[in-house]
Amino acid sequence: MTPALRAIDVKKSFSGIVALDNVTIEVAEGERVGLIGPNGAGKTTFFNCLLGVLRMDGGKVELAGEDVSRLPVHRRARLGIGRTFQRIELFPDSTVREHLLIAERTRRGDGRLWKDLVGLGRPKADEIARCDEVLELLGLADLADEPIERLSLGKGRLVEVGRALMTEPKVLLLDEPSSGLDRAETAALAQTLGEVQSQQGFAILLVEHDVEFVSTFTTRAYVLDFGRLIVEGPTREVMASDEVRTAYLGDLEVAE
Amino acid sequence: MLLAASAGEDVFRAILQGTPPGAVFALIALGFVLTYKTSGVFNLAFGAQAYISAAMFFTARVEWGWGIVPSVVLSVFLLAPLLGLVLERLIFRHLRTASAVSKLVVTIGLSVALPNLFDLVVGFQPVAGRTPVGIVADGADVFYDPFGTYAFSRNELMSIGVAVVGMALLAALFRFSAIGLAMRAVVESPRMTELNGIRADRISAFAWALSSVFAGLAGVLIAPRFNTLVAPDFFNLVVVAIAAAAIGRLVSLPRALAGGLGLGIFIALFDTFLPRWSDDLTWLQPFQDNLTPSMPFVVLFGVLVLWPSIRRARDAGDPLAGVDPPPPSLVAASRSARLTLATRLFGVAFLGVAGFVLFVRGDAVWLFLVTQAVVLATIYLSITVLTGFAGQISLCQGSFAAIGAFTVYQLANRYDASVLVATLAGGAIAAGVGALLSLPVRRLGGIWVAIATLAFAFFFDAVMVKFSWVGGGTLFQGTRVPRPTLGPWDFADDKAFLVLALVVFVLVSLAVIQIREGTIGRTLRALRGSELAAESIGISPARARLAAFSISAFIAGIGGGMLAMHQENVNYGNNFAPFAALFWLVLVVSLGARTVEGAAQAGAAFSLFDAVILRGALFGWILRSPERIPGIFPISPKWRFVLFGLSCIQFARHPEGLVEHGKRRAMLRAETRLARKRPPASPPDPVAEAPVRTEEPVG
Repeated sequence: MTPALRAIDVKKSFSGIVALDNVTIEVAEGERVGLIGPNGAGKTTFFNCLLGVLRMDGGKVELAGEDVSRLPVHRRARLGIGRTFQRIELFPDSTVREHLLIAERTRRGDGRLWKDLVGLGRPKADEIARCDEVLELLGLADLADEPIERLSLGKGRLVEVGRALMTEPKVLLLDEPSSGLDRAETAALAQTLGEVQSQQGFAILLVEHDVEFVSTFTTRAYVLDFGRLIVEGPTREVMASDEVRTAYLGDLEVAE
Repeated sequence: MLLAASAGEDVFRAILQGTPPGAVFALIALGFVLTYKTSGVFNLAFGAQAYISAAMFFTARVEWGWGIVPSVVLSVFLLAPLLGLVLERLIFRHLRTASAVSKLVVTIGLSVALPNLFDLVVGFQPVAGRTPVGIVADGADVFYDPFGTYAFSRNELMSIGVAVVGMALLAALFRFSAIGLAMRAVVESPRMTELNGIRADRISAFAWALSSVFAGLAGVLIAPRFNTLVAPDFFNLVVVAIAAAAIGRLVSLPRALAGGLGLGIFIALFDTFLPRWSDDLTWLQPFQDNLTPSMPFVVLFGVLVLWPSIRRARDAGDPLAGVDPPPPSLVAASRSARLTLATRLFGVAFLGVAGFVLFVRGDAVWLFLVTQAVVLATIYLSITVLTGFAGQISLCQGSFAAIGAFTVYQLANRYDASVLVATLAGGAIAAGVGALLSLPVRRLGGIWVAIATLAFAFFFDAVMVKFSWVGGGTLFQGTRVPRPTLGPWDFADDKAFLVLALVVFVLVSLAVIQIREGTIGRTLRALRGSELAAESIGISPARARLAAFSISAFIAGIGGGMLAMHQENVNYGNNFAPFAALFWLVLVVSLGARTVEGAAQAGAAFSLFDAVILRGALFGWILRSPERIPGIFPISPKWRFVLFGLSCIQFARHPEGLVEHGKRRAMLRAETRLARKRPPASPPDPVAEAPVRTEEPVG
């Protein structure tokens, strides 16, 4: 079976400093995978290479077996890479539902100037129904008509998830979804995410600081340190491995 | 051998010839980079600052008969830094966290307002043909360099001298003084500097004062090169400065210096060695004659489009981008359904009353002004699409409109085509040019689009308009355009033409509203909100910008054609020149860039504000007798520029526009007051409350 997402030997360096050194990962269909690592390990760089925000120096990114290495961000998004942002990125002056509606319209790709001019560009009943379905799923149905400015950060992150889901992603990349949330909010987010994922069956790649979130949420994990993968395997084993302890706690031991 | 020697001499002469203007360019570029680096403001009002010092010097020296030294001290070393400090303290300090584009819009407003404000306060009146004087006596006297190849005038020598001294002082300041060191720190990171106990805002105030001195120096030095002292010439300077500064990627002072000097020399070299095509190909003549003066615009455009590092450095537009939090969300940013209804009723009533008054009692002058307002409102809808919906600042809407107007002129004049068909063709050609222009700028975001379109506007102004197949009119008739006829209707009659203009405006408005509510409008809104997020759901920024640019250019082209028909002449200089079109953006942005209503108000403001308010006609109507208009009227029409230019400042806080913001606030107050009056027995039902919806259609 072809994996939902595969990155092979991804290389990236910034003016001579190697940020990513032959990183290879694989996310199977419907799998929940974690990517962890200490600060400056290259998680964000790797993430941006997968999305196409940064151009890789070498290597390959495959989405469901298709090579997307040379495609721009929006083309990869259309092929099935959804994402959320560490620093939340929503559209001001729009309601919650409007966020999902524009994603749905973009996915359908049937917007035309003449349709807009004769009034066919307005949201259609079936589009609204589909958005409301996803909002229901995320527990945002009550907030559908709220302007985005009135939402809490936790709800805002769920809106990001909903917006990404409208594109029918094969794999959803979550960039530090717990940042800025407290423990209870993180738990609620993890629960909702888990429910939606098991229902819809897309794969998840979770980049995360919160070790607890990763250990409960994912089944497999990769550990990145200084631009290299140091461990991979089932999350439970990875968390217990010596390499992870050194990578995370190494400084602490020195300090003692 | 002889040939080689003369070529070498040519190069040498060109270098000498290019040095004096290059020195002044370098001064401007340095001043420009200084504020950009320390406060993140891309200061388009730099030219206005230069103008103020130049005009102050001229006034003191010529009008008041002061000596050279006191005049220089007053204009360059007192007025200029004071102006810089005032701008920093009153405006830019409060815009620290505003987006780079908002700050840019504020400086555009200032570059319209400041020169007029100065003229009003000092009572300065530019007189054609009164050539500005330099800061040395007998400035036009010439000296030869030791080899006798090039004759320097005293003014030119003075430029070089002042520039060298200025740069040396700046270098010394940066290297040896505490404030210079602090300044370098602020450039690296204002937040870090503040953490170290240095007041970053003081440093930035100092940088503004210093930058303003540089602007003043450059203004005073460059003034003798112009025939008459007028503000638009100085606005060109800022484009030159940006070109020089862009060579140094806008952040390096030494490179900006080299860029300025290099630009001056490059232009001179280019002028010397430009192949004389025109001897064989006469149609290239205008190109030949006008390419040299427009070189800075070409260079700037080329640098922006071709220089990969600028293109890639997406957030180079705002050095503080990574440090500052995003701007706070706007209170009452959305519009309620009731407000929309109220706006529509008001709009219909307003149009009805205006139409009635006009058709029953209006005279020729009022008919002309109202028609102009309607036609301009049509053009302004192009700004609504591009700036209001897409959030892009375009400074070449005048060029798009001019393309429409010139197409109508050319097709009607040469091929005797129907002017209405020609207007559509003009719109189509403008749309094509808009689409082409959007290709190179598609990967640039934020302020870079504004700068690239500004470069294009100046290039169009300096080169394209001169071609006989574009703007070439006959000597005595200019670019005459006939009024249209359609079947039995002849729109030569002014009232009939007003009806036509209204019909076109309503049609375009409806189209704009449909676009806003349709796929394109919502796509653009998403892109305006967050380009990153829009891309992540599959929106192609390049395609969306292409659509926005071509739709906007089409509307501008149609409007430009209508304006030419209305005035029965293209009148390029008055209507469409880059500096004139700058005021369009100022008006639309300060009144409301996101609604059709805002465009209509901007059109009315442009053509009626002067007549109704400033000349006191409104008072005459209220008092029921034109004789009793108070003595303070007529007020100078320059106040129009000052008022709207300054009201642009609020764009950073209220991007939806002044009127729109005022209305929303008033509505919110009215609703809370109503809610308070309601009997407390029935608690407000959340569903029955007017649902808050964004971006309702406005009629």
